[in-house]
Amino acid sequence: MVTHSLLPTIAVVLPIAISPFIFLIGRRSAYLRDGLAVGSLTISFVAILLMAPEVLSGKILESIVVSEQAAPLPISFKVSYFGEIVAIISSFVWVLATIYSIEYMSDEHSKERYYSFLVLTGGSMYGIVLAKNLFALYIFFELMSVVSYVLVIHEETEEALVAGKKYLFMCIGFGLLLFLSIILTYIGTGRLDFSSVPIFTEFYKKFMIVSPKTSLTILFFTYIFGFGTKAGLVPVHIWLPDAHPIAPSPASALLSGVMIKAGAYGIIRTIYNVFGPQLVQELGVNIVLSCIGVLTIFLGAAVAISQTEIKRRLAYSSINQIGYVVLGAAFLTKDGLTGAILHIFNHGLMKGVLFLCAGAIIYKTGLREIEDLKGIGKKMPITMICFTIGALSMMGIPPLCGFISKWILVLGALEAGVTILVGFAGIFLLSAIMDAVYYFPIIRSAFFEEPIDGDTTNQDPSIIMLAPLILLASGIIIFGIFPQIPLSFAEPAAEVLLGGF
Amino acid sequence: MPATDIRPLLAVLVGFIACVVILIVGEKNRDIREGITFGAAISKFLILISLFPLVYEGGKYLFTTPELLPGISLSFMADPFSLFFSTLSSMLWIVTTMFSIGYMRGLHEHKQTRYYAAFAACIGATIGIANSANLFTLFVFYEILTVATYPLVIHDEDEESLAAGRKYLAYTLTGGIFILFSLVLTYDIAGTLNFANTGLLSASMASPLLLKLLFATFIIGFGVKAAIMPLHSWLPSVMVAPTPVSALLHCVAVVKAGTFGIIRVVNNVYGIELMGDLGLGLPLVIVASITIIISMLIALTKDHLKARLAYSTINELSYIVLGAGLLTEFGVTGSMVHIANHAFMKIGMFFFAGTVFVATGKEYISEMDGIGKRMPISTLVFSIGAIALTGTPPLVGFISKWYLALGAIQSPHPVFVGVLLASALLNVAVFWPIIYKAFFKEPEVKRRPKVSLWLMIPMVFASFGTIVLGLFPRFPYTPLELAFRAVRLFLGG
Repeated sequence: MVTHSLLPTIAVVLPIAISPFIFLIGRRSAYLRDGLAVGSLTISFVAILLMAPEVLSGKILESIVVSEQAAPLPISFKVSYFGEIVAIISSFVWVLATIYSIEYMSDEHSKERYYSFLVLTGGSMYGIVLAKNLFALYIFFELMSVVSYVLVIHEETEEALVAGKKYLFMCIGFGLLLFLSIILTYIGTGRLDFSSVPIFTEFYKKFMIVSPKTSLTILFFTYIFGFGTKAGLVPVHIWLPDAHPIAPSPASALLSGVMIKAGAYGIIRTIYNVFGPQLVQELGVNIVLSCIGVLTIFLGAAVAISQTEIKRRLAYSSINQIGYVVLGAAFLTKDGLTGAILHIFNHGLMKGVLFLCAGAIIYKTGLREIEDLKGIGKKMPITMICFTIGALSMMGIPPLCGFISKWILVLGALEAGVTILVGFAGIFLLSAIMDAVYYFPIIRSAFFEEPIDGDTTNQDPSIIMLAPLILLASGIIIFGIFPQIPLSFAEPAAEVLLGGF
Repeated sequence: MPATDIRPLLAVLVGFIACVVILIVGEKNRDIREGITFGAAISKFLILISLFPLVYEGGKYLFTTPELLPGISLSFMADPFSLFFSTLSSMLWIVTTMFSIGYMRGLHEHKQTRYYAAFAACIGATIGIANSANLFTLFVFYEILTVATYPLVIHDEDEESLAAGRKYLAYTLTGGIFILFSLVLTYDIAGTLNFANTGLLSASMASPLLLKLLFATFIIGFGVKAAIMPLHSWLPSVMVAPTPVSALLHCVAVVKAGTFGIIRVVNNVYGIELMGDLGLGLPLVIVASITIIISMLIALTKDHLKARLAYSTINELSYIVLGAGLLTEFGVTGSMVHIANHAFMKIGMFFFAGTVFVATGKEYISEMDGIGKRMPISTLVFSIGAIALTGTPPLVGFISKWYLALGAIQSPHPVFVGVLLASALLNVAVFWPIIYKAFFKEPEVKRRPKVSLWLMIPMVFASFGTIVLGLFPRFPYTPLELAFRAVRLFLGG
């Protein structure tokens, strides 16, 4: 049942439209600037939440921003289960990171630029996950890629600028690859919309240079790497460990916790809506993709272990975790996909809280090296408890939410039926150990060693910074104990994507 | 049956009348002089707008003067493609005039009367090219445009600009001779020079070899102003002209008269079908592709801002030629709409170069560290233009890229889509360092120069066009809709 609704448009267009005003007003009044930023993102968040009951009741919400009378293809929204759950977690973390920024950024320069781009990026992120067709998705995807550059290089240090340059060229370059794939798809099939019928079921052989099978295989991977760059898929991840940690911590939390999912979202849409599970299986590309996923998991974890700086370790951990999502999606099973979607949600909470905690430590003490963090749990107990909850959840310890998604992912692997894929179930277990290797030492030395300077006065930040941490950490616990809440979206989303509609 | 109406000619005449009146009024009454320019620009724009409704519905206006030779006369028309180009030029003339006032008065330039008079004549000639109903009329105004631009090129009257002027005339007049030769040959073959919707030539009129040679001479002729490599080297030289001239003439009117000519030749002289039968699309696309890539590589090495913009213009002009050579519906549409889209993107960037020069006297990129902190709005306009050039949505450059890429894939040579993608990436390499230096390096002087509204409003207008036409490219009466209508006629529908 299709219902027209203004809510998706409000959620996406409002922040984008307000962002220039934040820039202009920001020079005059700090209060108005912060208020507009938090306010517009909160309205978006509320709009997205209001859509949830409608989506759960089976309604399909649609709205048009630019109709096909005014654009080459319509820029419009259609709220699916899948889009809705990613939008909820994105907008939730976004609002919290923005509130957190109010204190974190208080001594920083160019704040009006920071807030206005933070809000603009937020709007485009929601646009990606709510888009009705690939054309609209691509427009918001590129918009987000380009404007988040400003967040990456915010510090304007030599290091930040080098990282930004790498980011920009990688993302624009692979964005062009994505553009090419979309153009080829459009010319080949005449449609770009997401529906229960995958785009490549009726396929005209107009532009085939090589055999249809080969060209479809190539096209599949141009899509995967086009989206995968943003997601940090190996081997196109190389920009990520430089760019994510160098941004201000709230922006790192968003880049690593949320924006990385735009890539994962695109990959899942590619598999299930552009090619369709059947075609993917016929082409056999899911095996290759799951191997890429495994590689991403191992490389991310292995390099994370060797990092000595806390934010860099977290960034590599994101690469590791996005591997789970891609692997889960590549199984082509209901549990695998449910696990992948759930992990998008859970990882948003976990990586959000971890980066924000790291930011709180840096803000209060200026320490970035892990070995300097001895006894930090005694100085900043609340912060470190939140960090610990996030880290334990990352390791997959019950009853935290990370456990649930990994559990379902293992089920998905077992369900896959192909020997090699079933074998990948072991990967999750192995990787959990690796996660423990790189998170556990931080927790241990924070709580069980004495601070280097012997100073144990309480240095927890103010409530503005603590509240987002506590909220995210409690989310991790709540959704670990009551996984039905996100699962009520993730499960039907997986069913819809798998083609039963 | 086209409606007979004098308005297509009237729009042309307004420019030339204004030229004479400006010369009479002269330097003493400079406010009146500029008022006349404005009056002419606005009335020209309104005349053209009044032609819209009928043409938009598929009609056509025609005005023919008495015959000079059998079958040859000066005749003017308004069809979707001619209105596309003439409206664009006259609209941008209005904003460029504003910018000229800010620029010329800001720098206390000499001989402003000559400047405004020549400018009016140039626009008159451009509209003449756009509204011409046959090759002969087009040629006449094409040559007038060449001559009328000369005083603007040599405006500074120093060694460098005089040399640039010589080079300019040598290139464009030689190009003109090629066109004249082609014109005579076409008349000899076909007995007429009137543009036909699907081409005035047909395969039965002459041997394929002759038709191919004729096409080559046409392309060499028009290719000079369209700055196809290796005929491009005049364009970077004429950047010595005052910046408003570079902005309107060397990024819109003059250079696009060349691409306009090429599109007319491809579609209205040869016709898409004949082009395809003779296999003429591919060579055109190859030449354009080479130009696209090499011009960007040269642009990378230029430190002079206007020179870098000039090479970028060469690059973008060849997008238009490439699109025309694809001979597909989307290709030609993309090529045509890029005439307008590039105009909006690049004119704002030239305005930025001019504003920086007026406000700070700087011309070299290496001197522009931190300019974004001193002149934020102007630099933002430049950045929006540059980002649009790379084809990032939702700006106009994306719309061009979308249709050109679709056109390339539709054509028998889908590999050329790779050229577009490579060029997009090169565009990032060319313009990103400027934006980066402008916003993220510290300026030597912190003082914020005052930028007059005469300079500011045209810049903001260009950015406005870049954004709005990118978001809503298919609103009624937008360039894209006109381009679609024109292409439908070219395809015989």
